[in-house]
Amino acid sequence: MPEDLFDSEAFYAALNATRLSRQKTWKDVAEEAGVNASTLSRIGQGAKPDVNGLAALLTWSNLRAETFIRGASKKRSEPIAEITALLRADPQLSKQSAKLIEDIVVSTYNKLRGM
Amino acid sequence: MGFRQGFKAESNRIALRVREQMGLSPIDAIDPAAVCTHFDIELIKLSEIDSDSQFLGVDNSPFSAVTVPRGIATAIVHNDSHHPYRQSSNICHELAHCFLGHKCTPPLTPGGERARDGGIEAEANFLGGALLIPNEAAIYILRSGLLPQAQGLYGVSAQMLEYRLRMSGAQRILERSRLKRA
Repeated sequence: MPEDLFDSEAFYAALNATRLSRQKTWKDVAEEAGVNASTLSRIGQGAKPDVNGLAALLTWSNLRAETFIRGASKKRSEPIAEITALLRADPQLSKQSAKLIEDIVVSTYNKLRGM
Repeated sequence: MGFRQGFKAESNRIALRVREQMGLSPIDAIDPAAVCTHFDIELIKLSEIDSDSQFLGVDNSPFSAVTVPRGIATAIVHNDSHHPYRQSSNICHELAHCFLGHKCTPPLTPGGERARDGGIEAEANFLGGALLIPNEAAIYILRSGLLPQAQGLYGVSAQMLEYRLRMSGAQRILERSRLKRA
């Protein structure tokens, strides 16, 4: 089976960030984008949206589909290397504290269900 | 700290929009955990991730909270060994990052040190406070003589209360109206 060139996880992450920056719930997104709430629930369970659903979500979010298409030569990196976060911590962390915080971030990332 | 033009007004609008979304009035207190639930953000206690974490002990100050996104999901892990008022402030700080659309980045540098952007941290501090006490609530506290009860009503530290009364302009507004009446 050919490798999936659409980076769903990156798209959903960007959609989720856009949703929160507009102070919207997923229900609001479904209503405003004109997609079924069930489409978003399926996405939440790991399914891919159909073309119409994808188009509606791209339009709602002003995101561009091509941003999420992996170049043919670009290998998918290990998800663990792509973990990002926003951290509230002491500005001057010891090496040991920094390592412990890294472990918290990785544990949390692994706890969340990816797409 | 100099913010971009219009940032403070935008922050207050966000704080009011969040309340409106939750069926609350501008002067109502918010429960940060309820805000997370409303916006489909998973709130996790540090003790649930690692019950033996060093940050849950006497030396609990280095870690306050972290927001971790993955695909369609977002989680906030917070240090539940902090004072409840500080926990509220920590969670609202993380919510502020989300509501301001701050870009998540690798939290540590390749050298293992903390990566930090002072600009977005200052913005999250400001909105975090406004989420807890919007301008309207700050004015309400002073006008209604609720200062002695305000910490308990809004779940904030004395320092946060003083900060919000000052930053919201509530003190100035009240002084001006007293002068007019005099």
